[in-house]
Amino acid sequence: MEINPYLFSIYGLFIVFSGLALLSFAVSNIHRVIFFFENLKLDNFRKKQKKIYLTQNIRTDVKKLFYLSDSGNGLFYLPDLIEKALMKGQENPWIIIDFLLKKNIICPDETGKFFWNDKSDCWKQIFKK
Amino acid sequence: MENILVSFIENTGFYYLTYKHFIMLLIAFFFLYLGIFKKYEPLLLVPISFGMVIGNIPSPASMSLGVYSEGSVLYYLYQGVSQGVYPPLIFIGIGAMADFSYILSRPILILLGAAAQAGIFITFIGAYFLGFSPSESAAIGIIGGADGPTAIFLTSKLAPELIGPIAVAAYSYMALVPVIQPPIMKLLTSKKERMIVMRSDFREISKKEKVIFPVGALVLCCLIAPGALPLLGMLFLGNILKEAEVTNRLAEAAKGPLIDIVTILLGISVGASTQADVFLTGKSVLIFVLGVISFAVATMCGILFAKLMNMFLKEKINPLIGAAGVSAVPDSARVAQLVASKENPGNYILMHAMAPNISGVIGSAIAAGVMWSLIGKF
Repeated sequence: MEINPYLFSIYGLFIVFSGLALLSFAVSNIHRVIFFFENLKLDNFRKKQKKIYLTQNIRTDVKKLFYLSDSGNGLFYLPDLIEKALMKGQENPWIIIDFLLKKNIICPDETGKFFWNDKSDCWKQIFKK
Repeated sequence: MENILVSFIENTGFYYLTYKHFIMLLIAFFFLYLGIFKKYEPLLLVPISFGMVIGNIPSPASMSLGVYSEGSVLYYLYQGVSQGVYPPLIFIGIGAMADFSYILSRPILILLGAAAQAGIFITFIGAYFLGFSPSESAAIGIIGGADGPTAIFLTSKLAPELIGPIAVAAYSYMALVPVIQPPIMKLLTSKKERMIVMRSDFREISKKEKVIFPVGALVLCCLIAPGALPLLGMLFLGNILKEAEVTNRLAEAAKGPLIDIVTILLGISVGASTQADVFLTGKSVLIFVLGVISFAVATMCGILFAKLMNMFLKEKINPLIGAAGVSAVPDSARVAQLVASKENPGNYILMHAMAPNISGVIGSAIAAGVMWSLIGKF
């Protein structure tokens, strides 16, 4: 059987490109996959919330929460925050609180209050975007 | 007395020494010089060139000493090359040393590793029209991947009779990356392009991502090109040993003693396979010429594709990193850095160049897998 070198080369290069392009696509979205599976492990409260927030949503929600809780002194109670968020139509404030804690944007103190972490400027970066 | 003298001479190597052996020994000495004094890939070039010395010391045929003489020690060591055993073992070590976080933080740069593989297929066409069989053409083309183990693996499967010249060509060109690539880089890029500074804030990669990547990438790539399984399977195994952090001992063994031992065995047996009577042929010379063309074309394709990407990207990339798409890790990335820093000493593109460099390893393994699965049928 004869081989057509041109067709073979085009085919071969196509396979290499499609393989690595798929890999590139998969790698670009790997954090979303991780986020999805992490949310599968959440407690019952969270399981009821069918909507899964991706990065962009969280960013928007953080902005909303920031304005909700900014009473001037920078301090707020977590239950208040959740209540306010629920009243304002936030579907899953726990995800937002989790995000804020993980990113070290808010920190708990010994009295049960949470405060914006002034030492961390990452929340400022989020609002800029 | 005369008979004793004749018998003595007949039992020495001098009696069998021809001008071909002499040429090969000179080449071996030259490679030794490059490896030891010029420090061109010494870990590869020194064992290979020493193997060339071993392989080109002539001996009586009855003594069965060379790699092609069944029963000799070198013959058994050479089975690791001819049966394609050493390359996957080396890939475990490469995987254990590789840091995939570069491609995890800049996934778009993976495409540069694909573009550079065009050199393999373009050279395939050239070799085919020069009269080589499809199998031989594929084995010659893979030199452009600049990945010695992959070149040896594919050649052992498709054209085992060419392993000697192809392995020496592949490793020599890998060693000569700092000589071959810079002129091409300068020719295809403007000073302004070489001075492009890329942003240095790499995304932090979580452990989960690092662990998921080798598994996901293996499944994805090997479903597309199953022929790449022996190489990519070992590459990603080595990597997960490292990233899992619970198999540190195995990872240390893979990137230390294992890869060192296999490199010694591979180097010495590849070198010893370059026996003058087998190696010094017109075909070998042609393979060397086509090999350097393949390597140069691969470099060119990587750079040109980076320039093409710049036409669509908001955030421009330095086209020099396209040259790192050939998979000589980490030399071609280092060369990209050197050329960039000559234009702008404060420009650090090494980390960016590592992304196409490592994806080039994956790309050349996929290319080898495709060639093996398709050409093997002819």
